[in-house]
Amino acid sequence: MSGNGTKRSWHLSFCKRSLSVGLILVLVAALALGKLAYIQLFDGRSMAQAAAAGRTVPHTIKAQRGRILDVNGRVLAQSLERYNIIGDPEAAASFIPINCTKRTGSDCHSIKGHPVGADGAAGVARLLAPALGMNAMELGGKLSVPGRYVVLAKRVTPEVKRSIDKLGLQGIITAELSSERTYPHADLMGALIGGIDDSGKGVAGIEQMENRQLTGTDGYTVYQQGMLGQEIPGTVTRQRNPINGKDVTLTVDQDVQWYVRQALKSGCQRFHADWALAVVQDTRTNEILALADTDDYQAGSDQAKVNSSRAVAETFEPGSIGKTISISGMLQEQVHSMSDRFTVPDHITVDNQQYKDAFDHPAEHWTLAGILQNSSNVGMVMAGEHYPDQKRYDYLTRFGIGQASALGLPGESKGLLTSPQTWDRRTRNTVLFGQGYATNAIQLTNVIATLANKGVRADQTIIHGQGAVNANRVRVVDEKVAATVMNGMESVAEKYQNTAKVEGYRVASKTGTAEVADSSGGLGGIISDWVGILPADDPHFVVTVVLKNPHSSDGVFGSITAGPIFAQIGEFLMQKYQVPTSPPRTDAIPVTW
Amino acid sequence: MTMPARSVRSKTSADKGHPRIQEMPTRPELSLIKGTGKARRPERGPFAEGARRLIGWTRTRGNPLLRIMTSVIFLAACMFGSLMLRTQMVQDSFEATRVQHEISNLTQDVQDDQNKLDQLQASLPDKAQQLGMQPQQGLNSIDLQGYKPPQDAQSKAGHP
Repeated sequence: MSGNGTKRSWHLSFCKRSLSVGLILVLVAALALGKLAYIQLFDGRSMAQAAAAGRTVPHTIKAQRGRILDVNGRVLAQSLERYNIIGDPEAAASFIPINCTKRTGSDCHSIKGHPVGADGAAGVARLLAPALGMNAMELGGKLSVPGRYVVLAKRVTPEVKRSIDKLGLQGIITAELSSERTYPHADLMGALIGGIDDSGKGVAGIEQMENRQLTGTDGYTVYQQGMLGQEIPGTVTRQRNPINGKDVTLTVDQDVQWYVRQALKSGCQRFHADWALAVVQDTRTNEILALADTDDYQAGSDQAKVNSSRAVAETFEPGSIGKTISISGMLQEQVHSMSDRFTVPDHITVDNQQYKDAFDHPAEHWTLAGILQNSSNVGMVMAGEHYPDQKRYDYLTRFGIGQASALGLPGESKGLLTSPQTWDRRTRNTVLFGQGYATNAIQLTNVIATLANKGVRADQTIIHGQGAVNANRVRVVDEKVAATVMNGMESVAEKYQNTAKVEGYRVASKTGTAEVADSSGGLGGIISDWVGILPADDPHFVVTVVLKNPHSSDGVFGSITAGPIFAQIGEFLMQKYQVPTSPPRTDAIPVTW
Repeated sequence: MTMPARSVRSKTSADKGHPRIQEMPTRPELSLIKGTGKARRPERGPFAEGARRLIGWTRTRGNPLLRIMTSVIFLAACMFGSLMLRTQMVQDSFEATRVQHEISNLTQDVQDDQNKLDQLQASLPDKAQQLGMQPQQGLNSIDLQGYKPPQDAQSKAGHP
């Protein structure tokens, strides 16, 4: 009886305990059910909204930067889509490769059919290195740092990105859309084109000057993303398409630029010059067709970003080319006519200052045209006796000396022209023959283009279709005065036909040579230049060629060094643009008497 | 002191599908019924009343079960169709994303190819020069006007 009693009491106790546990479980289940019901029925919407909000993220869609084109539409700069490859070191540390078997199919990891052979960051690096063309050890090192974000490679091509996508490293390796600026012509006009910084902003050259035009407006899209960051289709809630930057077309002709650069390089080599530059301007539109120099800066490189085009950055005394400005002023002010007669020695002393010509000669019977043709400094001082200082300054200013050009290129130097009140006894006369003030090649080209344009100066432009063609037209001298000065310049060109002749065409030119400061600070440097209008009877182009420190057994004068380069460029231009040949010259002003 | 609600009801049966023998005169007549609504049916709940009315309504139709079944099937079809369309929409959305991705890839490929072409074009002059080709120089037209360069200019040549 006692045994049955004990067994019964044990059963009762077990039943009670079981019931208690069961009740507790039921209570927990009831609570869970209650909570579930509360979430589903009462709090469901807010929970769903919170979850959706957690998955919903805005994504920026980068606008493409506009292209830079030459006048014929050939690409000088353009942006391409690229990717930055990002690694997640934390996820990489827990990476375990899946060996390829029949069961896994293509969802496995292998390197050229062989197992990866390593776990963690090392395994990821081994898989990734061939695609990126990097060393696996280096890559493994980059992936073995704390954190969840490390840039493994920048600006890889879409092809590389797609090959990485196939590696099965989702969640460990991701790609961010980026862009790369490419310059197909590399060093053809590196400093002129300039470059952009890492944020895509133009920081030099045309890239900087036209940054506003080239820069687009980024767009965005808001969508829900999956665990691996991929877009869940049909979840886009807001979207604004990016507005790409506008293209900028230059007036520069790539063919002319290439040829001019080749001519400069060969000339530079021939005359052992430090550097050379040239400007080609269309006189009818004032558009710059070429702005070349001998620098080998790659567009977009650091050198291209810190240096400016020499055509606007280099300033120098124009030398005898400045005589065209002085003679224009004298003719306009009716101080002299081109046929006025002078007896010109090879040296003269004025106000205790001695002036000499570049070569020794006996007293010559030259007209003003003869003084220009022979580039006589003494003759200019003699002719300028009744030409006031203020007028000397005024005409230099009217021709654009000492003022920034309208091109607006970054790094342009406006040169140096001081007021006549600051001129000393020597400077007031040296300005007559192009010394005592500084200019750049662009300004100098426009001085001669003003004469080619019948005495009217207009803004130059390097951006095609910007509306700056023939803008701000200012009459500097009368049409007759411009024609007379050009007549004198034709006599100059005729004198140097053995070195700078453009076969079949009349040319109006002026040559110049000036001493400039060298690296030691003394006047040991030489600038040799040549500016010409061609054809002289129907001006199409003005070409300026400048050489720094040329060396030649025949001398360093612009007529010997820069002249032949000018002629070479001139022949090319006449041939390329099929300019009709010139009729014979019949109206030459006498140069002697 | 509220007055009992009144209702007027026709005594003719709406059950035209099941005509039965009328004991009363067939001519319809109106009569006043006092104490309608809740007052008349205090013993029945709203669900029972609704069910009773539904059954009553179905009895008034020729084939009520078929109509209800049709309605249910129609509703189910609508729901199923909606579900199908939604599924198709999501499927199309995936397809659209895939196509968009393909377009994006192709655009990138075109960009890269165009860039290669631009680079090749840019290198043409240099390559031509390396092959010994020279740009045309000098006069290449025929002077029909008998132009002759001045002879005396060469003899006067000198340098400043």
